[in-house]
Amino acid sequence: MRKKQGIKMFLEPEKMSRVEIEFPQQYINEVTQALVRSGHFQIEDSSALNMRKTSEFDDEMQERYNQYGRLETDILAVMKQLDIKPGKMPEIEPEVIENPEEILQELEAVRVELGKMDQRTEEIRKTLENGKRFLNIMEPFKDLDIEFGAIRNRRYIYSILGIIPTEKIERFKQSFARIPFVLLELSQEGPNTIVLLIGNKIQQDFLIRTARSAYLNSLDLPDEYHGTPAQIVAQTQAEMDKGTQELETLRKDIEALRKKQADLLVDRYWRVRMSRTVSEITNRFGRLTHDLLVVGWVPQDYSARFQKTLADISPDIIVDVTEENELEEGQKPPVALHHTKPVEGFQKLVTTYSTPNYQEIDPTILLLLTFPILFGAMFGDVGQGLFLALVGALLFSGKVSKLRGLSKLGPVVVLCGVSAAIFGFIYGSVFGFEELIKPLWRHPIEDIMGILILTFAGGALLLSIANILALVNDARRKDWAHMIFSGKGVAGLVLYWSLLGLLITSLTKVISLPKGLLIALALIAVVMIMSTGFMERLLERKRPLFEGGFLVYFIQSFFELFEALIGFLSNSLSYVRVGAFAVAHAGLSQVIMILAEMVGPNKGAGFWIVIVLGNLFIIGFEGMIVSIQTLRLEYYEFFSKFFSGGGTRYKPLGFLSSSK
Amino acid sequence: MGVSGVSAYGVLNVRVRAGLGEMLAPETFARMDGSPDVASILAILRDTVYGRVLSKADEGDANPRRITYLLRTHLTEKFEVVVENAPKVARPLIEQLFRLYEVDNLKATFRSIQAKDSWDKLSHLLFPMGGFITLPYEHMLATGSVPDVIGLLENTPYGQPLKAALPRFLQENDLFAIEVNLDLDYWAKTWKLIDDLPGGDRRLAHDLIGEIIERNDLLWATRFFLYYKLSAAEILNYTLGIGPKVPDEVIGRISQGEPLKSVLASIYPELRPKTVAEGAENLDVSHWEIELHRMYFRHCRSKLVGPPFNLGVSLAYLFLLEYEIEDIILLLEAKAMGLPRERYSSYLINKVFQS
Repeated sequence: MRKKQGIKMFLEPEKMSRVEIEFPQQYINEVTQALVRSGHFQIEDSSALNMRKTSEFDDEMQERYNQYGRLETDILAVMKQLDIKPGKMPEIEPEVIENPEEILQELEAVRVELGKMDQRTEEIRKTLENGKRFLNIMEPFKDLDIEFGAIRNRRYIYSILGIIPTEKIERFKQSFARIPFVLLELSQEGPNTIVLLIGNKIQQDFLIRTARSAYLNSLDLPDEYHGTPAQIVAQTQAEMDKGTQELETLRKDIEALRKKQADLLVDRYWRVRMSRTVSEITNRFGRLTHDLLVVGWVPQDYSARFQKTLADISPDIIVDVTEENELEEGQKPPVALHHTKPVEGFQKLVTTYSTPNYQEIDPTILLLLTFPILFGAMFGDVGQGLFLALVGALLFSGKVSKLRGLSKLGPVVVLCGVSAAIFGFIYGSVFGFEELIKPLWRHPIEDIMGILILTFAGGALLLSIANILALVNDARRKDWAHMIFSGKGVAGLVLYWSLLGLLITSLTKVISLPKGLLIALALIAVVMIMSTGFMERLLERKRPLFEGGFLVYFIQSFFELFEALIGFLSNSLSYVRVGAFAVAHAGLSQVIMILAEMVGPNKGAGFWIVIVLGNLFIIGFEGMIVSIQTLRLEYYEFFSKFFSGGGTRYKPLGFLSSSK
Repeated sequence: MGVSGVSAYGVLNVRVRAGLGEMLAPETFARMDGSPDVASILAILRDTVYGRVLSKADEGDANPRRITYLLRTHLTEKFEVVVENAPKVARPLIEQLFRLYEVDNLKATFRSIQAKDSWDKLSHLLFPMGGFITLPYEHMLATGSVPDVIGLLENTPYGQPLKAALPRFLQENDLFAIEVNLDLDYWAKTWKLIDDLPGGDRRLAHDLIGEIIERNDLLWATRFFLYYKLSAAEILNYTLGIGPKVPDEVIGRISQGEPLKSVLASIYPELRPKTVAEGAENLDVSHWEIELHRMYFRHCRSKLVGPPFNLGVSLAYLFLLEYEIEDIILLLEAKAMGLPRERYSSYLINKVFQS
């Protein structure tokens, strides 16, 4: 593939060979690793070819796969606890694990050690949280000079020290109207009051229930707390300080464990992940009576090296390679699109339409050439174009994290911007100012008919290119009848050019072509197009030659011809929109200028504000519309002539292709 | 109310009068009452002022929960109209009255947290808050913890009453203390807001809102006594005693065991025929609750006649509209369950159903 030279390497997908590998199951690990390591093998699921029932071996493979999955999850969990990141895959290829139990034991040892530390950490955290909560509760009471022992467990009196919403105090007192009580308001805490309620011990239940109904929240201290609130707070604080110190020690221990085990865990993680990947791939192998079977694709250029790699493992491994020209019907090779990073944006636009199929031209490079030209012609302005190019460069750089997902489109925007700037020079427009530079051609708005004719001609050129590409694709598929006779073949092209010739000769006096010849060519092309079906059946030796009878055939052919003619006309006229948008762009710029002069007649701040906002509006709004129109022209007028798509992308096996 | 009243309440009065004109006619209620099913009621409602809000229900989601929600949005919208057009001094009170639905939503959220309900279930129980700024119910539910929600609401008007009730919730794992304190705090604040109104409006608001507080105290005290077996002291703490006709002395009578019928007969002479009627002594609390609501309904209707340029007309309109909507909802639910008329008619408030 790399040897290919010139434009061909960009237009054609890489040549692929189909490979079938049959090998004894004892080599399963070696073969799988070789396939993965090659980086060129695309596997096809061969499990449907199984010739035997599920065996003990298959069960073991499945269990192994599940075991790797569980192990990976467990290792990741421990790594997360220790804040260890897996990082990138090591350069030295991780080894496949033969005995998962050994890894499990290593992991268990780390888990036990870490578990003890975690458990203790959690206990201390809980103690600290409780302590903090208790200090919050004690906060309102801290200045009280009361010995808790003095009000606790008295023989005849019952007391409640607590906090009550101040607004409820009066009603609370009224609710005690029938029993003796003392309510001491000790201090004010915001909207609440700290109170000491004292009553008869016999009425303890009544006191508690009534206090609760008034939302008097009592300070219930455990018996071990003695002394004044200040002393209790100090005692709690001391315990919390001790806990904090222990927590710090534990943090250091965990950090030490992290340092000690980080390399081991990362190594095991990648080995497990590798093992699981290999294990997953083996599930796609076919089971023959005694051997295993793998089917897939490799690039033709790589095929010899690939065979040697497998032969080096064991002579018992049989590799059968089918070259591209020997493929059976239905065997569709995957399509390897090999574009560099700056072209990926255009490739994305192509694959959004469809993935090219193996037997047709990859239109990515054509899109790269035509898309910016069409966009620029519609959006010609030096300033706005350069601004767009800068935005594109920013996107491509990936420096704005939120726009990183659009980085592939950066080069598309850059090229569109540059093209718009070039057309800006041609039209003589800079940020909507038409008088700053002299146009290399003219302002579109001053010669509307001229630009429309020019874009019509450009459209005709692009359509002709598309038709020629369709011929190439027909030739690659060896669809000769379609290539020569159809409306999208040579006949269609001759008809289109003849009609164009007649149009030019009739409307202009600059070029004069022999009308008789053109009419004769057009008539021959018409006859050829109408005989497409007949010729196809003749060449394919199918009978009858006129399917459904001559009359039905004739009517059908006539309408196909009519459809082709309408298609030529509508597709060509569609490109006139390029000129129309160039005029509209200039018109919109003029409107901005008029508005700016209305707001700031003397070119004051208002003038420039409108110019800036207006340009931003044009870049954002019109830029979007022009992009959509360009895409429409590419997809529906250009691609539809020669590009059918429906291919499968080439995705060679990678080590981690099957990761969760 | 002089010229100032006209200038302050002129626009509002026009909007309220328009709203009153949109309220359902007795004949419409009668037609709905006689309808065989929900679809027939909805067909009738679609030709009324409720047609607009009901048009938001697609064929597929025209279930009673969705309809209830949409009908209540009409009340929310009318509250918004009244708030926007009311004089500045009256707006805090009207907004506070609407906040009662927020208190209900808050209680519903707490219950959903306790029951571990999904947001989908809770969202259908919430009263539509329209353009009023409200609480982040979904986020509150997502915390899954009542104490966490209380922490979240620390700086809202509910922060203080919730914080006071939190220790009891933590001890009892029951929402009783929280819900009671939210109610007490809400009505105490509402009562205080009335004091900021100018003379005439203050009297009208005391009159209209005072009766709600009285009703609440009477029903709360009765239920606390009968069903919760609380002491007189506890009942006093769980009630307000600020309604002119229901001071602590009246609450005390209930908490000492005097039947509600007898208490009502002594404080509301207009209810006397009901209280002395045959079988009145066998009626349970919910029936007296309905009677109190019907009495209040008549009270509100009486405020619609007389001088128009005051707050009373607007408040009465909002309370009447709520009764209208709740009656429609009750009818819809009754028809959805296929209940015979005698099973539900005694719970309807609207005058057309009052014998």
